[in-house]
Amino acid sequence: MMPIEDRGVGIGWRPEIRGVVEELPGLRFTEVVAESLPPAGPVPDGLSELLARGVTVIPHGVRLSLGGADPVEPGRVARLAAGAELLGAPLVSEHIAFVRGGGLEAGHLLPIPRTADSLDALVDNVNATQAELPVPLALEPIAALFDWPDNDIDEADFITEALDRTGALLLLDIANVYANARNRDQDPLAFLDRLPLERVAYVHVAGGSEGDGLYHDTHTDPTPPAVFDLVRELCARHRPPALMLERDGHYPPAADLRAELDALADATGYPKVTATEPAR
Amino acid sequence: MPGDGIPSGGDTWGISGSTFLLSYGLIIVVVGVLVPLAQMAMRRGSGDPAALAARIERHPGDVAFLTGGPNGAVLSAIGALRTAGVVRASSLGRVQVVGPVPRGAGRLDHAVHSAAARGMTRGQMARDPRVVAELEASADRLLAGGLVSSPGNRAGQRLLGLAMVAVFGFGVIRLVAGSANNRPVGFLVLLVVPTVFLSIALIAAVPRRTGLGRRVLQQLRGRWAVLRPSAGPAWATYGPAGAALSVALFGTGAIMAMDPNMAIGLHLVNTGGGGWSGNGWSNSSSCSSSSSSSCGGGGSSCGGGGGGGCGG
Repeated sequence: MMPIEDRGVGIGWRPEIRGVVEELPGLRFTEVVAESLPPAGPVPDGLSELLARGVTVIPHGVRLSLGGADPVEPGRVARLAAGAELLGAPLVSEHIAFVRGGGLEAGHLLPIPRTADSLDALVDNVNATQAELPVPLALEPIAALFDWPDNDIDEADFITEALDRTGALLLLDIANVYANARNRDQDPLAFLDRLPLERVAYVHVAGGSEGDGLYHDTHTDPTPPAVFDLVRELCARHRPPALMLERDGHYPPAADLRAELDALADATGYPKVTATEPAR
Repeated sequence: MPGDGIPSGGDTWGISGSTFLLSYGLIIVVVGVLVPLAQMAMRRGSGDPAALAARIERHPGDVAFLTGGPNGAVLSAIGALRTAGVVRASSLGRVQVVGPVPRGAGRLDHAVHSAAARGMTRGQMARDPRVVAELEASADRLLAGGLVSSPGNRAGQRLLGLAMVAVFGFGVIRLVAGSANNRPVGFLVLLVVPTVFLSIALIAAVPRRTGLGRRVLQQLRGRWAVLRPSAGPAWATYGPAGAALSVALFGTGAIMAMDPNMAIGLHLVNTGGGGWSGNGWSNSSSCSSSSSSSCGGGGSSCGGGGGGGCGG
């Protein structure tokens, strides 16, 4: 039994576009950056209205550094837990990544080496985190433009084993799957087939752009057709309970965002959220 | 003790100095409170603010005219054109036209675009005949909707202010009589002088908005809190109409947020604080801090006074 079921398609709540997000008549779930929530409340304007409407809001952490060599900071875990309680969220999510090390903040998400040691560290951190969370945790693997030279575990194996040893769920970022496969000239479907798709709590869908011969998962571009194709393939195998358009900047006109959401609905077979009457 | 003056011809009018001062002060206070109350009652207006708000928000130019007069309306049109990408920052109070008016633009936008293309400054635009025609149409709509007071109503409010002029006159008469009587009038002067300023204030400071207009604006600012510049709205997402409404409801801070260079070029930044610069309208809704703690894109300070907001 997944923490959320049949929520359809949604879009990440961002203050810059919140007017558009909050006006979506069929919206049933969204996600907010956990660190932007005041730990003791109140729920930010707009989110409170969504909650009152029965929309599920999931706090998405970015600063826990679960993949880091250092033990996860209890204060940060407590803050994530507080966010879940503030929003009445049925689950929280974070990343398989590190953001700090040696006393320095990286400022963004960095891939961890896929070694036995780093897997142990990740598992320890995730277990320590889950012990303090009131709700299940979903882990999101990130896109990496390069691989660490000492990687000796295959990515799909690494993720699967991390989930097995912790019991955590998977936040599958289908755009990252596309980006990683594309930048390494590998088959994204082969990768998908090796993941425990029944453990997917929800999915991120995002856009990116070409640059220097690489595909950058920017979250500030429209979702390319190839990623929608991958969404279709994923749904054919095991349709996830919820899929979310993740846009973090360079926001386009509202009509474009709504069209992208409709395209996502079409690719998944879920109802469109931009209309009051669900269109099938 | 009252009445213990230097005996010299007796109290003016038979009323002791201290008694008169007390009474006169009381009269000033009473008139100073009653006149504004009466003026507010005269301009109260009646109607359903929510329904009117829903109607007027489709005409951001009218909203801007309501909050900021001709300059406000021109600025809101500039905000819309900037968001549509057809004007760009320039200098010396101007904007540079780089494209045609977008489809669906309102008549005011067309008029301002044409004025800008002819090289007019912001101030000149507000006097351009085509713009003026649109502003007059705005004024008519606002009057018909009961959001601004009719000239007759405003004249009536000013007439009420004459009560304070009468108080002033009464004080002057007492001053003259008292001096002629060789009585000390120093304290009385101290009371009469403020009545001059009060009179000016009560007669001059008659707003164009009705109470209904104020309530409609309150509604709009609540409905459109997402457009508050301090919340860092994504201008392209809300489009030209959203930008126009943000400028209309939240003032020059919106221009600053969407294009700081354009705000500088339009001479919006020299005066500090939120609201309109340069034409004396005060925008009663000042910048409140946003409840969101994440940094939105672009400068998020409200109103002039330099950078501020979130770095980077």
